Amino acid sequence: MQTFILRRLLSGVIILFVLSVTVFLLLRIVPGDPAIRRCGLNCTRAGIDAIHLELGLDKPYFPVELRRGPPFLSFSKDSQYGHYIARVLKGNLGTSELNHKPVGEQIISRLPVTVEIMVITLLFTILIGIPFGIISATLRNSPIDYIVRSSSVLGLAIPSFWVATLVLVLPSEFWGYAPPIGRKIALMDDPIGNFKQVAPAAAVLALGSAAGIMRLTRSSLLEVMRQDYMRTARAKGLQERAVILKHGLKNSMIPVITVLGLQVSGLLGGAIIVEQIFTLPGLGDFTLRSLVLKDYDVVQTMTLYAGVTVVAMNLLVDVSYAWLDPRIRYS
Amino acid sequence: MPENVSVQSPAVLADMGISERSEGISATLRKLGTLARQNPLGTVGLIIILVFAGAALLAPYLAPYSATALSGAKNEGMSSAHLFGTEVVGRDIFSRVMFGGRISMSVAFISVIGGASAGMLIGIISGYFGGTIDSIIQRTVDTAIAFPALLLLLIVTQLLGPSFRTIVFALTLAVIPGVARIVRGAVLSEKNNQYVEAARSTGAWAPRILLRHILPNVIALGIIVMTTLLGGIILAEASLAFLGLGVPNAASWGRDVSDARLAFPYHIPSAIFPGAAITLTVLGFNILGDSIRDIADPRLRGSR
Repeated sequence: MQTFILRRLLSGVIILFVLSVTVFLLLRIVPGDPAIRRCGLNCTRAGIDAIHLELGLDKPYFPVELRRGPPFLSFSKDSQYGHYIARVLKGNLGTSELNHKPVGEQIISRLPVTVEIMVITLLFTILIGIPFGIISATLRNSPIDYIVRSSSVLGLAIPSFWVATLVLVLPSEFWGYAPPIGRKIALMDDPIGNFKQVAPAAAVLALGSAAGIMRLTRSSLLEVMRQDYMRTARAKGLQERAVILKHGLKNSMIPVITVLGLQVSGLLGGAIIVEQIFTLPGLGDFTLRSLVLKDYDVVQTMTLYAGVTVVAMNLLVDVSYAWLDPRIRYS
Repeated sequence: MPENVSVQSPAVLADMGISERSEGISATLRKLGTLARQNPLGTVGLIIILVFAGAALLAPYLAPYSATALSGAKNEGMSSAHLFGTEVVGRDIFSRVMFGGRISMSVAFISVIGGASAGMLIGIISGYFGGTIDSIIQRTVDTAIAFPALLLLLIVTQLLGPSFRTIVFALTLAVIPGVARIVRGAVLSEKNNQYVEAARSTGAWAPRILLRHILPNVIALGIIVMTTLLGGIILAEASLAFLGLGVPNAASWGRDVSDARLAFPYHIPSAIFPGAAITLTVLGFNILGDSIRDIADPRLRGSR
């Protein structure tokens, strides 16, 4: 198990490295020079060159680069990527162009909002998706099953941004109520006020993911219920409740956990949307605003942050397999 | 028609490019009718899609107003002149819903067909050759599947500048990894079949085996995957448009939902109708996709 985790961590580092190189290159090969915007109006060729020099944009991209002619490779100690990665490893993530504050500082102040949205969304997803999935599978073809199945089909089709917009628009029209938007209340200052701000956003996001989990729990449990050991469990006189919850549920959870892990990565995208609508100052909002500005440092950092989250989630999912199904051993 | 043709079996006739036309059409219709009766949900999905696709295609002829005409006052309610009312600057919502489908559907179809074709090619190569190529492709696919799709779409479209072409490009990229993964699995089980071995033993070279023997057997799977992806791609395109990174200057359901937040006080029809159009279209594609998968693999029926 330890070697497995170590190996996965190592491959995670490789994935993050490849991700950082890809995004680094992508940001530089697309049209649009950040120096031109910095330079402002009345910009001259010399002015742009001076900014290039100041930002180090005149240097080669990578320490090792391909050349058209012999010797086909060129090496330089003084490359843009080399400086970037050395800086990041020292903990300096650069400066945001949004407000000229350090990127690291901004992430720390905005992280709690996004993490809160994601944790509450996952809680809603699990608390709604799994129980209703079980009910639907055990009462197959009953009216409840049909209701659960139709609502999950609907939940997968409804765009979260539309539901969020309706949550803003409809209550204000009919009851004169508006979800509390605007400045974020810190969790520690006022837990209830804080929950009131984050819960609508999380509920909207959970609608789609709970629908997916409901559907998956149902089909996975139905598959498990066909297995011989389920018949054995019933035959030895266990109550149906114990058969389903002890023997069925745990065995049916592997695909569900896999998808929950993938949903976390989807939620990083979903957070961008709900943070816009409910004007919550989280990382999604930061990412979107910095993208519009083509802010190199922030976009690079945010992709790395997404990469780290995803790698960590995948590891967590794989480790949980071994706990759910002891037949799965990692060596 | 040569005289001796009639003694041939129907399969041979079909191969010869001759079909029994007079019976062919009614038989096909009857088969379709049975298929529709056996899959009522899929039929409903298909009808929804046909209605929205038809409305989008014929919008320039059928829509009461153009998508951009200021045809009424701001935020009008529903009336006979404006079936769904007018939105925040006075454009007819019904017409905009009709026109909005044009971008959503064309973007979705082009990128799903493009992405699925590329994904199938990559999946076939990865599954057939195995070894180092396979591991490199699969690790890349792992990373691509796990990376937040919306973030990828936002980065690509914003950096290249939002336009029809860049959005199609970004969505195509998003489609490739999932298809490659599924097709690879199918190829792995397909390539051990005896007919592949037979082809190889006759000395056929790899591209021929791939194109003549493996591709036809995974193409059905590819089409099923494409149908199930369409709904998700329409959602993704709408999300981009909602965030302001859709095709510029085009009527779009996603952007209209976003604009609905600008009205003050809020105007209910502007918020409801474009979003309902997205939901119904995605719903149509999803239930049609489920149905097609059930027909292709009856073991899955009722499991979803």
